[in-house]
Amino acid sequence: MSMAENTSAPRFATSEEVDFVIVGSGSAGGIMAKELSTAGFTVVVLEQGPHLTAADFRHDEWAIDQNTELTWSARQGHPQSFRRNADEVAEAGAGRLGYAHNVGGSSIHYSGNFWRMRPLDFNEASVRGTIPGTNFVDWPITYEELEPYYTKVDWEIGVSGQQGPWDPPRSRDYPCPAMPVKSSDVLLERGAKALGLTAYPAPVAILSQPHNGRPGCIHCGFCNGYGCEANAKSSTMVSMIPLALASGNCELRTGCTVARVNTDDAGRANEVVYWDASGAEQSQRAKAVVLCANGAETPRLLLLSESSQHPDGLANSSGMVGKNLMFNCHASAVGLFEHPVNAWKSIPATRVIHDYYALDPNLGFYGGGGIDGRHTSRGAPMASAMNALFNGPTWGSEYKRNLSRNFSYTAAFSGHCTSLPLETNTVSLDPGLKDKFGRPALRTTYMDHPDDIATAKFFMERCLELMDAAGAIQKYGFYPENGQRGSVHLLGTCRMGNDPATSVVDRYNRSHDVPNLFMVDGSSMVTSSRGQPTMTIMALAFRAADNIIGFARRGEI
Amino acid sequence: MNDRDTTERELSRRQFLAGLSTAAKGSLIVLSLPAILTACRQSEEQAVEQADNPDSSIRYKLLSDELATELDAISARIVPTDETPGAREAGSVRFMDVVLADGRLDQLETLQTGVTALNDRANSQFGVSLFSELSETQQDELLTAIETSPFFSTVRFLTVASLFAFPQYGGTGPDVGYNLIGMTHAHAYMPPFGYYDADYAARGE
Repeated sequence: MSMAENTSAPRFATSEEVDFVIVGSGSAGGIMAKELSTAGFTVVVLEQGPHLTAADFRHDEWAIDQNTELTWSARQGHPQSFRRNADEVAEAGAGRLGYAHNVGGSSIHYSGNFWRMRPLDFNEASVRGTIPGTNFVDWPITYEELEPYYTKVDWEIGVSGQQGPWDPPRSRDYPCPAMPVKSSDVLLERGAKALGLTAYPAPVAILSQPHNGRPGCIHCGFCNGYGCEANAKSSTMVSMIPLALASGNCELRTGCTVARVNTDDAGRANEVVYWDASGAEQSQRAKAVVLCANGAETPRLLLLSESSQHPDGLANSSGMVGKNLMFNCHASAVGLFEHPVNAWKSIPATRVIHDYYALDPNLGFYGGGGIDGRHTSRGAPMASAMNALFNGPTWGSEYKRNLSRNFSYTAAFSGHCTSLPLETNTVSLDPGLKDKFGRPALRTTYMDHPDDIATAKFFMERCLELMDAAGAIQKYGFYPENGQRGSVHLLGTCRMGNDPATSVVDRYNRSHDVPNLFMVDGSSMVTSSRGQPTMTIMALAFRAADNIIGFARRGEI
Repeated sequence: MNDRDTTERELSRRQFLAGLSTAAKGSLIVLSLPAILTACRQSEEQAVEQADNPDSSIRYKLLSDELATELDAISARIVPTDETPGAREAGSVRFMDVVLADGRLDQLETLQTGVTALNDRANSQFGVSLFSELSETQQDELLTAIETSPFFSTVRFLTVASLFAFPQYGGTGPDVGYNLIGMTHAHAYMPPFGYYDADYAARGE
């Protein structure tokens, strides 16, 4: 399957007003490109990174983890800074928001855990009650409104799974059966049964069998952090971009970093300024602009697009651009078992426990999540060797002897849970640090809400119980008790809502302030999900595209 | 050595392809074959690249011979060579040289200062001028005393990483590390993946 070249893709002049410029070609941008272009609209997609394909992906851990070849860092001229609260001066390199810079965005290197949200996630503030000091509110849409688009993700992106006992209702079955169970998840299931819980097949955006012209997974084990060498992982690069390019209406410009979105005298977005692959400044004119740059870069771009008309940044009359950043919290237990688990083979997780989806309010804190089985170190050989588990020696002969034990005889049970939206957790522009283009660097301000940390501790304790029940010989657990310093889940920074005073986009992902500007990615999320947001980001993108097409056809943009 | 590596890779590829015909039963893995072959080809290309660059006679890019000698002695205690290959066979010091030269020059001072301090300790405690002149027991004693230092952490990190380093990073390929952790070097697997899922269906779990 070769897709980097496509002769039917058009080339538009930058002076030509195209129907849409889409910033970003990731989970949301790839979908938006395919939907808008196949509906007949002219589209230019601007992507910072290159168009890699399966043949470019290697099991090269040094390139991925240390040289940050997909995710980029200060090494590539993109430093970030981090601080706990607004009173601190942010420190370069003290924390990091992670996302891949390539066609397909982070859908290239994600694990593909594709949990749908449940009806409760959309109206939990009403059901459970608001939480003082937070921006925990209901979504302006319901599960029922989003369900058709979840199903569209299942079939068009490609999801494997099996409907579980507590899963929300679905209008169509999964296109591919669940992935084969791994030993780590057989152990999870054993533990669950002993404790009266239910572990059932985890839904994943990885094909268990051929679908839409792509092959099934070959279980190589290099999912989390890596691009798929087999095209079995359902990125938008393999599922959407080829269809967008084949439409004849979509031009994909790679190596293009967007500087700002300009507006005309009427306050409408009219051009997108960017540096092209050679570093030259360009400006593409457009009738409408869709930002799909993720929950970090979309708000950053809006803040960078300040003008006399928009002194606090574009689309920011609410003051909410960049605020309410949510990471999802997490916890894990690691256990040692008598026989080989080999959790480093195949996909990250094949079973999930959702009995703790919504924790009992009587516990005294808000939260909820799921637990799945994993490899102790993402299945990564080098990372695994770095971790001397169970307080073992970190060097010398005994350390060396323990390496195979740590790699193959252990499993991790991992809790993935909620983060509350807080106005104090933000993405903003660093006043001192600059990136390679001279732009203010991404500055993150983040401290988990006490309830999020209490929830993570709760999940660690359950994971440890599961380890005992599964027969672990040794175990230990951990959670971010002092708060997280980064994440790959970048949510909430242009939140969706009906009230322009407290939200950035409306229920159709349209800016409350700028009628022809749309923000479609993790930034729209009102609450955090239970720890696996990409399925919802993609469903929101399909839904937004449907509505945007309607607006455009009715002349309402 | 390089010839043997290439032969082993070729063997594992042939074994893998032969295994397919019996294991696949005409199902999904056959449809994945082009991808698998691509992966095998990449592996072979890496092996060839390695064979073309034995480079054992080339001087270090960054490290002085003196510094390299001490780093070699330290890394050989971090992952010693015993019944199985260790840091020396993985080419740890050459790897350090290559990756420090690749945008990590700030770490060189950490290593230089640390080695100087370690030599000073060797002198004050054992009366020799270099750490590398000490017995293994003496070396372990000194390293234990500094094992929480940023210097030791840096050398340990680089040593462990080198076990898995591809030739383009100055390593001898990932096989030293893969063998130590018990990872087979296949590009595709079929269930059962481990002990516990082997009879999963039969047990009715």
